[in-house]
Amino acid sequence: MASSNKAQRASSHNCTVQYTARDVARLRNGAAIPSGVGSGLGLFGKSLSLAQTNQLYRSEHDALAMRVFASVLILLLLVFVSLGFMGAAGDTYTYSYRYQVYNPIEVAGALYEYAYNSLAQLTHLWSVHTNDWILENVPGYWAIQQRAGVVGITLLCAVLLSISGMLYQNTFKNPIAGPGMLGVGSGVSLGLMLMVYLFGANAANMLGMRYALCYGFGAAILLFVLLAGRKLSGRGKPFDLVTMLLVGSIVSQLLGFVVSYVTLFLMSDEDYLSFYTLSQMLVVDTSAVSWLALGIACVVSLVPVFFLRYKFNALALAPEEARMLGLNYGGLRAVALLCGSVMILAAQVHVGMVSLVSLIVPFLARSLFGCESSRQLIGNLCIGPILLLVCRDITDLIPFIGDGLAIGSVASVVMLPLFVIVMARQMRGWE
Amino acid sequence: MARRQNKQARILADAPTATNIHLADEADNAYAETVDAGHKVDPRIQKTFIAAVALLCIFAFGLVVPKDLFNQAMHYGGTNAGYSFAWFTEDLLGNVNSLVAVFTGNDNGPDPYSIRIIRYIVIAVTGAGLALCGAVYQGSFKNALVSPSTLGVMSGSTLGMMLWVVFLVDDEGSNVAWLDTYVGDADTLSYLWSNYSLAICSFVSCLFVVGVVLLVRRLGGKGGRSAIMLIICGQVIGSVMGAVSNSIRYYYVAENPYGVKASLLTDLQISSFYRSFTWIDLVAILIPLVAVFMLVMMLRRKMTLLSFTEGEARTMGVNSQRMQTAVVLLCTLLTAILISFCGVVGFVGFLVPHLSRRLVGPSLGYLLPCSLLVGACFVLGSYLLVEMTLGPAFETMVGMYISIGGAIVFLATALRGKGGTRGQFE
Repeated sequence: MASSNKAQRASSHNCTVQYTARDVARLRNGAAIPSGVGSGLGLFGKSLSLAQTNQLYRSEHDALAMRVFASVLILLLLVFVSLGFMGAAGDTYTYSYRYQVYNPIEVAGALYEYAYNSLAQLTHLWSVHTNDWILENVPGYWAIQQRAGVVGITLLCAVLLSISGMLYQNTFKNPIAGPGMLGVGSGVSLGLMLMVYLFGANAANMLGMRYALCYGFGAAILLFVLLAGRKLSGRGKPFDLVTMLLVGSIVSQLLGFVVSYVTLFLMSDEDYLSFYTLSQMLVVDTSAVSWLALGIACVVSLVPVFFLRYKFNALALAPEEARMLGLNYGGLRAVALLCGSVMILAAQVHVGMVSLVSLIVPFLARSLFGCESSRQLIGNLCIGPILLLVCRDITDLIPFIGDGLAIGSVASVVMLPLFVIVMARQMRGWE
Repeated sequence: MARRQNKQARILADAPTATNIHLADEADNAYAETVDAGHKVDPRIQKTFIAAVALLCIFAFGLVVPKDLFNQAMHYGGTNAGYSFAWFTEDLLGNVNSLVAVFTGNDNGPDPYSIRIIRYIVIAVTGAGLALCGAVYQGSFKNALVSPSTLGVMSGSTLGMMLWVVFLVDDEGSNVAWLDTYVGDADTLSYLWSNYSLAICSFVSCLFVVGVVLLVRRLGGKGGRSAIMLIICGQVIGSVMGAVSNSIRYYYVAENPYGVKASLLTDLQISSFYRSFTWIDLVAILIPLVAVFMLVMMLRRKMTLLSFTEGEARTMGVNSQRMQTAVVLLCTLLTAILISFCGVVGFVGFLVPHLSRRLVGPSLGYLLPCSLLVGACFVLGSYLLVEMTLGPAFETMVGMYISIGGAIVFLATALRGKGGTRGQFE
């Protein structure tokens, strides 16, 4: 191997690019190779030896692994803090407990009981005696169980939000083109508005209908925008993204105006309050229906993105270049748009309007984890949940009137200093 | 040397070089051929002229035709007598008479007709200014999704009005007394304060938001000077302001749903043209509009250069970044003045430039006047429609008519897809 390498180097003295089989394999998969490999510019202008190349690969891999490890550690710490310290927030939801802090061991015990009981009830494989008397002996069981649902939904939605932001930013190289641009979010508000207009305060209890209406309206408006964009970009021409974005933003602004006029002028103030509670998800719904809907949306949208994580690098290319490499550029784009829209739809239904997370988390992920697509995916998976969990804890810690602060408002205020830091340290990775 | 370069750049920009034509649109070529063939007026001038005539027609129509059609038709004569149209001619003739009275100097009644004329002019000027700003924004950012609210001015204005309600209004809904004592006894000052405190709050808040946006962008150092960073900063800070004002409104509504503050906050969030206008308002918004319009028309050839990359523009002697920032800031200032005097009018600044780009193509020399006129037509027309159908009680709901009508018009013209120039950016 070494001799053939040397021979190759000797024979192609003037050639500047040298790739090993590994590099070629990675390139064919669409993955990036470490900077320096294949450039022929090692020390003193010589090309790199095999050992040096290996070293490059290893150091990049180690750096990535270290970052992932660190962020998982931080996330675990945050989850334990959130469950143990904020378990008291359970009393704002269902039960009234006096304020109490649980240590990590108690939290772990309660989580274990919760998981064991849920699994047993779900599968009926083994019989357990889950009565309240046994569970009362587990310290903080009810509060931590409540909190665990909220934390779980928040984490899942954070993943959805940040990955949808990443997909949209990679597809449109336009920072205004956030995932809400195709009008999905306004569909959700339209559904909720109808619910509240028809059923008043009872709308909060009609879970099945609520999810059906929200997902239905969101999907209908997404479909309309896609079809109208297809029609507008003309027959036989390539699909024009700018036209579709125009249609999407017009539809979403129109629906936004209509919803705000109806809620502010035509509804009574009590109905406005319940609409605000529902649309901002001031009370997170941890029922089985909610988990089912969120789980389906997650599987539908995250699985294709996971399998295409290397292919999505092609979105950074010009369409012609990607087609020359034999990639289905239009198909990739369509998958990215559809998955991103489903993600933002689910996130908006389950945690409310959180807009800035999907703008800023991809920025951070790119700057900390690298611009390559699979690395971006890992980065978003690591950073998004941490940030949104912090926002959730802040939201529940601040006492506020009514059903509390909206996590969307808190998130945008929390994201502002982060954004300034990103700007100031030039960790942009945009252009 | 620099001056010489500038002059060269102006010559380059003025001359119809291949680059310029390519920049404007391919449709420009077709127009140029038409113009070269003679015998015909440039269709772009024709369309602009048509828009001007339409504006005059709408204005005259609004001055003469009766208001609140359905209500009047139902309740004419003081009783609920069912539909009848006897009042129509009567009201029409009355309007004509009072219009004549304005010009003969006899407009001395309790409800002077000149107020109504001024109101219509103010509304038309607002629409025109917002549409102009939108066209300038979209032209200078070269981004189809930009509108005057992109830099966060609209949410800044909303936040300012909310703070006005929170701090300067007591629970009965009148201005707080302690501020009046500071304002003093001078008649003009107290008049201005009692009438314009809301506008002042809104304007200051707009300036504050724009200042924060520029500050954050400045923090980005050298790389942060690009247009994209300006847009992103505006988005982020606008959404923060929106979040704060949403929370404020929720707080007051949840505290006392039937309180004056709650209803004021609710109304100010989306009402436009919520108060009566005098000639002071007209002057205060007309002068900035005219100034900005003239400036932008003078700078339009340089602004065409903004679509080059920065390096190319600099080789032509134009410092594109600085000029772009200056133009955008001027338009932001104009937007702030307009919306603090007239309330938030959304959707016009985004939609009308697209419509008029479909009418006259993307070259700024025609696009700017055309969007000015189309914007005026659009907002005034929507306002008249609201007055006619829903009546004066709902006249602050113009935004709803504007958004619905605008979306329908845009989608219809776009879906028909023939005639006119395509509103593309390439």
